[in-house]
Amino acid sequence: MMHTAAARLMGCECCGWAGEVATDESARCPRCDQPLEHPRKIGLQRTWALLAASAVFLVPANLMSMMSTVKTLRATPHTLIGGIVELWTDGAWVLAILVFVASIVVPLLKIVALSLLAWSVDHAPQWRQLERSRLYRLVEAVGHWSMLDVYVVVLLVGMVRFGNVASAIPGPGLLAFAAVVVLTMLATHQFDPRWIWQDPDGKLRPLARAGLPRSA
Amino acid sequence: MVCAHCGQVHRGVDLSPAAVARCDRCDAVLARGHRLGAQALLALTLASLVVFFIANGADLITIRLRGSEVATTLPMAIVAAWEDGAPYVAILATLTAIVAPLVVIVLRLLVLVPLAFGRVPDAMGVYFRLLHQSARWNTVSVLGVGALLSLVRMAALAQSSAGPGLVAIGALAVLLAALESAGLEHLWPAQQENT
Repeated sequence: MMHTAAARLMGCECCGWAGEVATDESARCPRCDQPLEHPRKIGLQRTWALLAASAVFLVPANLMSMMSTVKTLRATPHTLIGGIVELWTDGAWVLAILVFVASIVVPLLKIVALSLLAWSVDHAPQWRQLERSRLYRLVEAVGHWSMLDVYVVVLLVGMVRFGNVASAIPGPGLLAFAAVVVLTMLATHQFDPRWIWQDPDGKLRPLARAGLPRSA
Repeated sequence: MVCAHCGQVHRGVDLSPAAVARCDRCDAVLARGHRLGAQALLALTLASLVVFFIANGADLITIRLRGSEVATTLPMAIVAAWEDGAPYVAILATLTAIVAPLVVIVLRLLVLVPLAFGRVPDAMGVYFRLLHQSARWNTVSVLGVGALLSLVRMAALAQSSAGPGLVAIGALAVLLAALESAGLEHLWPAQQENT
């Protein structure tokens, strides 16, 4: 065990319970049984593994076609970027920017930001902790928006079904892109933002005082 | 109370409604001042359940092509996407667009119905843990924008128009976001020990 069995004030991320527990990494919330701590070493390894897997899937997701549309016997494949360019040239600039952010920027941001966060936990523990905390919350908040293109293709494929006259057919890029979305979301959930505020050996830095929450 | 984002310990304070308390170390939202008790939250949750059924049962988008008119609901579209060669992605869409919001609503009802009648449910802790997990996968708001976007992309293939299901998805997204920020943790009976 990393910690001595000294009692320590802990909080539950799930139900808001707070109290003293004789803590090791297996301590659970007495009210809702949620583990009070994410095991740090294995959690970081899982974060890295999920990030690596999503980075691999990012390549086919961007290069292969998300779907093909058929219009009067002519089939046209569409990639992720292709769909955005179409929206742009059609004059739907706001939508084009929205899809660009959700499908291209957000997955990349998640992989780069989480890599930085996971690396700095061990290698730069004191570096800009407040900003790193905020970065994590940003990643958590925007993460599921990359589902956007998945829904668009699923709805198009499921609704436009008129055979050779007009239809949408899913492409191999769709599955790869969905994998990127799910894997980066899982990686986000594996990372525990409390690691940002801990020493590299896993001990929580001693807290000088019980602070008053800032009211706004 | 302890900040869920960094582990900082704070003294609990009473918040006036709509006030937000932030962690003095990492700036995360610690708690909000709540206006709604169990009864009001229950009413909102029941409303979301009704809207959920409209969102899944009413026509989402109607397509007209060469005189024929086809109206599709969300579940029908997902089943069709499964049949047309995207089974795994169809499962993902079912989980995040239909199952997750329904689970969130049902779990909230399981907590709120007994509380509204003054009883604390035995398995409240289990419900909270499941809520914690399922709320992360609920993406109704993204689905709403996605449906609008697919309407735009459809214009290149066929004539299409939005149905009541699309409006219901938008309403459901707003209701679930309101429930999320209205909170549920403050309904736990006060802690007897260790506070």
